[in-house]
Amino acid sequence: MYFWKCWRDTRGCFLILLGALLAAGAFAAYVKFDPFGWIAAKPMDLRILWQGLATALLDTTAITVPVAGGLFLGALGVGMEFEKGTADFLLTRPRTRRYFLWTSWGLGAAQSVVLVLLGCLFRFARLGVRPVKGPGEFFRLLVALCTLALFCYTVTYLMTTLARNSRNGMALAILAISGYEGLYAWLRFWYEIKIPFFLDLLRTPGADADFSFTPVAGWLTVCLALMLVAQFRLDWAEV
Amino acid sequence: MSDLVIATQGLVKVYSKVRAVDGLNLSVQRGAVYGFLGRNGAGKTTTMKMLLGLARPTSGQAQVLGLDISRHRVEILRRTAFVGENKALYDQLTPAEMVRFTRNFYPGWSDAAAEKCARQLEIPMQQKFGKLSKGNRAKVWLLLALAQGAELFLFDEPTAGLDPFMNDALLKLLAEDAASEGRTIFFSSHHLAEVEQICDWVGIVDEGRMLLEARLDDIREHYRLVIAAGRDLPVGKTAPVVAAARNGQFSRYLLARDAEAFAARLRGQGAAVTQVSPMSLREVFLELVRKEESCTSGNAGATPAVAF
Repeated sequence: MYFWKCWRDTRGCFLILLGALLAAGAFAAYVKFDPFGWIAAKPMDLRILWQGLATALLDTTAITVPVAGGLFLGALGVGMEFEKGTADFLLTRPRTRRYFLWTSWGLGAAQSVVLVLLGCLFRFARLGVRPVKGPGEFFRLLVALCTLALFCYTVTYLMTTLARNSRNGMALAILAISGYEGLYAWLRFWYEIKIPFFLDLLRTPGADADFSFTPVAGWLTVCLALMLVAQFRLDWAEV
Repeated sequence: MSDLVIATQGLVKVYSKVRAVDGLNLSVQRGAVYGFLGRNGAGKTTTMKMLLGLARPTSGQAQVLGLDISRHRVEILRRTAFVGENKALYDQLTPAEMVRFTRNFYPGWSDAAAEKCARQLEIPMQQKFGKLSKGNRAKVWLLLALAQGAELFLFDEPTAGLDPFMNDALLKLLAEDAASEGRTIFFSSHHLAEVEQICDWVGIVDEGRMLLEARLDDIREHYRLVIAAGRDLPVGKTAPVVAAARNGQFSRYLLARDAEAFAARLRGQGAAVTQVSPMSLREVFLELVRKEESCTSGNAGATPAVAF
């Protein structure tokens, strides 16, 4: 039942994000299939513009919606209970605190993956590359985006648990992610030291043979470590 | 030990430099309806939070239902119902949805008890919690607690926000249902009248320390206020003196028993005993938490009450 309660808490946000993806997908489908012939009737340069717009929209939403989803869904984790004053109710139910933490995290993670999957499907449908036709490229993008979305989601989840507040948690997560980006840029461009960077997940070559699970596994390990910190924090939290 | 549903020994909770609970010794018998009294900030809520694992004791020990609170939190929660102080729940859920959410946590949940409670307390079950009045919010908490089939009820000011009619309905529910089935009720309150109405035990705390723990019947039958005038009268807390205070040449004593013998002893020391009177719970409470110069108070002579 706690899973159901988590769904009730997050469904509004999830459905809005899903709606954004579906709207982008519908727009792209309209441009692609042109059921009323309106686009075909336009001059060539405008037709190209419409096609480019549809592709750009799908490319953008396929990445930004899961990342934004990570930030918003992460802010709706168990840390929010403290802000709402409901922590004393929830944490006096006969379950371990870990149960509440991992259940709510699991649902948000699943929602993030659904958003990624849908975004990837739309994108590939638009480009005409079917998963079965180009499994390497589809799989690589799917895994990379899932990892990226999970990372953003987990960072926000941790920060919300630490801050015991959704808004502060999200702000801290954005600060932490931006700070890491800044550190990466500073070390790379001033000292030519390259540290792992989550956006590199999207830059790996597309060929099947070149795909490496190492950075994915690395970032997933980071997510697990962040969740262990969140678990420790919640285990010791006083209401 | 097995007859004690709640037992604490030297329980301490320190927040920064504030000792919210300061060496609390508490003993709640199985089947008791125990009123936990104290002024604002006396440490009542903190004590309850520690018993439920919402706060960690700085030192000391506590057992709930015979289980150590630091090691058996989930098992304690399975057998304990709690009504919190702030009465916040999920604004987007209706009481009916809250019931569906809560009942799966408890194997002993009773839908019949939930329906009876909803009917008696007139809870609007289909209205979102966020739109309920303060009183109705308190009622939803109570419903969720009463239907759990718990052995122990921990209520932190359960009647706060209820009108007198609903207050009575709730107390009736507690007295008839919960208490009659041999369950233990431990609740904090500022309303001494409601404590007198349903409790058989009271504990009075102040500044995190237990000042008095006794049967309510013992307080009514044996507790006396003795006022005496004289020089060099004792202000110690040796049994049966529960509290003593001096104001000028007058000394006030709260006695757990043998008031006449104590008065005779004071007279033997040359004091003029001006008053030996029975006390209500309210008077005992005020006498104990009174802040006066040279005031001392303690548990002497009061615990255990069966010794009287």
